Amino acid sequence: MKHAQIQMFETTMVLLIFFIIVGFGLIFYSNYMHQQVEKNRKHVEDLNAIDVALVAMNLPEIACTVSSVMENDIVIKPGCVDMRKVEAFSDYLANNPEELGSYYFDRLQYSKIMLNEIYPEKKAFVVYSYSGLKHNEHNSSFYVPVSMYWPDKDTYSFGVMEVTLMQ
Amino acid sequence: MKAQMEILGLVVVIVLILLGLLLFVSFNLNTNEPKPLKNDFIKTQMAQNYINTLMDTTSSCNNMQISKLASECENIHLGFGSNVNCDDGLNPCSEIIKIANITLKDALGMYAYRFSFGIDKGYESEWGNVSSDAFRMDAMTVGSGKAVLPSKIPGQSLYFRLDINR
Repeated sequence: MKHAQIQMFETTMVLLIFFIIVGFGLIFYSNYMHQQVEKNRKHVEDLNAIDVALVAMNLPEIACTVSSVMENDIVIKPGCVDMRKVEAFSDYLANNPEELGSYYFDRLQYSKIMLNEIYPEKKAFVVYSYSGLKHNEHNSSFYVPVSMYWPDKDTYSFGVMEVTLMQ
Repeated sequence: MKAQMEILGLVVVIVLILLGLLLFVSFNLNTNEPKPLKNDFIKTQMAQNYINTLMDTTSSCNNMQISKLASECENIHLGFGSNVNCDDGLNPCSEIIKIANITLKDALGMYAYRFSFGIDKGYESEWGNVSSDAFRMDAMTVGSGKAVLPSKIPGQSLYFRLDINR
């Protein structure tokens, strides 16, 4: 009787230790998978933020244009925004908020695009802002230096385009 | 028979431990992790974007663009002097460095980038330099940008270069 009890106790202990080891393994694996999912999510968010920043920089609505070598042709000047166009674009979006959720949403998603003038003056301009019903749990920001062209003065300011993507 | 069962139990335990180790090692050696995209973009784009934007910028010195000021800066270094006098008493070379200092600190420094910016002429000594305190060339994510401007001396060029890391 006593021998059988000892054997039962031994079996129980072996099973207990086995399940503890399996439990630790599961905890370790779930933590690892959680980290991997977080990394992948950050990767996709960064990709989207860069994508939106590049689209915003090259939007014909705000980009600078220069004459091309071809006669009667104009092309977008890379890395440059025309501040008069930016003002007109912001006014247009303010007067036509339905565009935020349709045409521009396809290109700029849930994001806030700002132009921060650094030199010669320090000013900030909101180009586009649409958060929809997002609670801003995961924001991904991206910054790109841009020339800000003032056509009335024919001068270029140094600025940074700040794109915050709400995901 | 009982001894055989004990040995079998030990073998099962050893196999389980080896299996656990194998999984641990395979997880840690997983090389399919996504690369940090922002660092890649910094490496390829940010420094060059900064230099391009700086070249376009209109300075407060007689409303001249930085690329034009650079030409005047070269005149000074060639011994021809320059007719350009900036309002704050700086010469064109110092004016460029002043603007680079402001824009670098605000455009890169506030976003935790470290940088080193310089103007030189090929392999000659540097004409001006601005660096953040903790810039290290050996840091993992180094991006470089360069603008080359034509010089008055054939075969030589002015170099604006920026190295950044984070």
